[in-house]
Amino acid sequence: MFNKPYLLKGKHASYIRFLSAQTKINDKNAKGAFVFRTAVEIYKTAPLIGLAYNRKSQEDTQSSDSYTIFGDAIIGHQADLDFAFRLVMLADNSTELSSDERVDRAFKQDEQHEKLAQNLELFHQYMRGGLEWLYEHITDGATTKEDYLEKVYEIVKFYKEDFNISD
Amino acid sequence: MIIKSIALNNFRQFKGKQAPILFSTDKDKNVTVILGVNTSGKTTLIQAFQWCLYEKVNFKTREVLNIELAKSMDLYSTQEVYVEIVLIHEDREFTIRRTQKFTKSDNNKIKTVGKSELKVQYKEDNGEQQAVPNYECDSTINKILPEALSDYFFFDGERIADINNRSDVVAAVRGLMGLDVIGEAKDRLDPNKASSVIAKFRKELDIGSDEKNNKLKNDLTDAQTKLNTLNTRMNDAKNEIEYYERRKEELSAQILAHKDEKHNQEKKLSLEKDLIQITKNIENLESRIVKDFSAGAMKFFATPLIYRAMKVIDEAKYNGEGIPEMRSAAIDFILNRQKCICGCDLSKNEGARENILYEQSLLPPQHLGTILRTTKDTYQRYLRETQSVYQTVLENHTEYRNTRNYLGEKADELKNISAKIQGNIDVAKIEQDYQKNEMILKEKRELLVRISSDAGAIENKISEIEKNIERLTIVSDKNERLRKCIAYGKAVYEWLNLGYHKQEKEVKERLLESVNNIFEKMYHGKRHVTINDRYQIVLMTLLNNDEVKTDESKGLEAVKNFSFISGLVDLARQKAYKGNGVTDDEDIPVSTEPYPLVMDAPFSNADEIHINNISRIIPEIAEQVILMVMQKDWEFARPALKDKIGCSYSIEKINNSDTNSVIRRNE
Repeated sequence: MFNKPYLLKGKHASYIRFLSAQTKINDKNAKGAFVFRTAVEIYKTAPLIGLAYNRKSQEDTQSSDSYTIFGDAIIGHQADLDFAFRLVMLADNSTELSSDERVDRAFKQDEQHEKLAQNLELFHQYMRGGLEWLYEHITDGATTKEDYLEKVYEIVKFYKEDFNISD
Repeated sequence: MIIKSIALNNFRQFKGKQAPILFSTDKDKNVTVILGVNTSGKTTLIQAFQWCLYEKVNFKTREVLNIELAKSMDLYSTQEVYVEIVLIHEDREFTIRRTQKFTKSDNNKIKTVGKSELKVQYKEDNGEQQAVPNYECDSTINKILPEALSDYFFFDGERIADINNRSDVVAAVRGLMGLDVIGEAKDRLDPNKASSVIAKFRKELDIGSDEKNNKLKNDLTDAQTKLNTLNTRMNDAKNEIEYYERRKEELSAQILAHKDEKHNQEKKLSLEKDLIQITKNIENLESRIVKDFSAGAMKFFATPLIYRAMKVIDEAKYNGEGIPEMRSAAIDFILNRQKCICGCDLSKNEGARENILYEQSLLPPQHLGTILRTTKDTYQRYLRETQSVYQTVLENHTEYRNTRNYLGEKADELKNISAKIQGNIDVAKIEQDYQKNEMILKEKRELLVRISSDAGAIENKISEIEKNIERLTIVSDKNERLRKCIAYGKAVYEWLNLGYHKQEKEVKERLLESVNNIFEKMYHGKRHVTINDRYQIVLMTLLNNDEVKTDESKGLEAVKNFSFISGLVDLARQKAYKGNGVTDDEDIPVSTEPYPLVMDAPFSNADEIHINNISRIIPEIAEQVILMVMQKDWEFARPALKDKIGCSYSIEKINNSDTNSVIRRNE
């Protein structure tokens, strides 16, 4: 798990390219908010946001755009991705699963390919939902770099307020 | 010169005071004859003239006192001898009197008492007698008739043979013709003579001081040229200083006027630097925001989910402990072979099989309780860290915003400052120009000081040179005067020399002409005369067309010498009448006047024909003729002279004495 490249498609590919500063490194003239250093950091964060706001999204087939997060990057963040995956599996309440079943889903189905594939799909749905949320909030009324960075603070602040995270 | 009278007192034969002999001054009857026998005193009369005028006597006994009187003198008594001549010279009547006192000493010897006394008086135009000072008496007489010439006008016929052979004949002729004065002047000026006036001037010249003066003048010119150059440079430097001072004022004014501008420009530069730095800071901050956000995002956004997950874990029943290090797959292997590790056949022992399955439930792949505990620990740690993530984001945001605001403020400030800056004025450049100007000004002022100092030194030098020149100028002025004098002297010398030679040549020619003319009238024969360089008459005769010098008889010699004297007198008379007309050169004033001929026994060596001739010619030539003659000679001369005789005297011996004669006028 999380030891091979991951391909994003359609708008999600566009969104992750827009948000990742890696894009700027590859192409100086590229336009974007670039509020994350790398695509893999978005990849491991977005599912948590998607789950927090209960927002899932299917793979986009409207656009032909695609974005590959290379295997090296993924392996480099494998521990964090494991953490994110199991957390999503534990915290997801979209299905009527008992706590034990959620624990099982989080920890005991790695070897069970079908279940694992379902679980990862759920993870990626939240990931796409979270990516969309990030994109929407970062780009909301923002056009400049300053705006985008302001939005970073805003989403953190709002997230903190939304979820009553104490200082 | 015309002799009016002569008066004798105790002079030789003429004992006592004699009545004055009044000579004829008539122009036509210009001959005075004094007749006397031998030793009566004719020659004495001639001597009286010479004694009176020059204190000169030719007697063997040189006493002039009458012998009889001398003998009769008492012891210690005194007697006086005098001769008084009255003459006309240059239209003025002179009275010349020489007196000598005598006394008889112890041994019956007659001695003079002191020197003879000479008195010269002349008659003023108003008739009053005026005495010539004693010290001028001799020179006055010499002006009237130079002593050197006197022998030619007061002469003894018996000695006439010598007259033309005398060594002073040259001087006499020249004196008579007035050439002696010119000659004397010429000689005194002659630059070739060491004792001449010009030579004396030359000696007085201070040539060394002239050279020094010239050097000083050159030095002065040099110094003045240098001073002029320095003054020009000084003016240039002053003008330049003036220019740079004006420039300084301008630049100062500009700097003052643009003081704010400068401040603004500096501020602008500072702001621009600040902006660059802030922008850089912002860029760094932006990178940091991204970096920190990227690093902390997962943990932060995990927060609410962690709470949820922890709740799930807490609710789960998996809390047993599994066999450490036992994997679920290992249990599956045991179950599949249906034989426990203890050797029990699991296919036949259901209870064992259930126990094994339970153990397996505690395992896969890790013991779940352990995993959950570890997971919860991780969650707890993440929750703690989440706070710092938020703080970091907040701080970054605050700093970012502040920095952005700061950037905005600075940008506004820059905008304001930029608006104030007038544009192209480069205050720094003006200040640079000012400093440069200051440097040049300093250099120019130092230059001016140096030039002024140099000029001062030159001025002092000039002042010193001028003082030296002033000192030398006195000498130089003297030199200048001397050079003028020398130049004048040379010019006058040349003029006199030229005139002198010209006149002498003319005089000689005229004298020769005159003498020949007279000689021809006196002598009938083939001979004629020439005059050599020494003014000596040489008789020449024509023999076979050649001129040859001929011997002279005494008679012929007398005629020759009469001719010479007559020639001289004639020339002097001609000259006197014509003024300076004797030569064509009127530039050189030559003074001469007619002279009398006072002759004693002129016919001594002449035959009767010659006596006749001489007697005929002499009154025509001379202005005044005084003849002392013996009765026998007179007989031959009288026919020729009878119409010319103005008056005649006779000298008579008293009691036939040789020492006491008296002169009486013949009626």
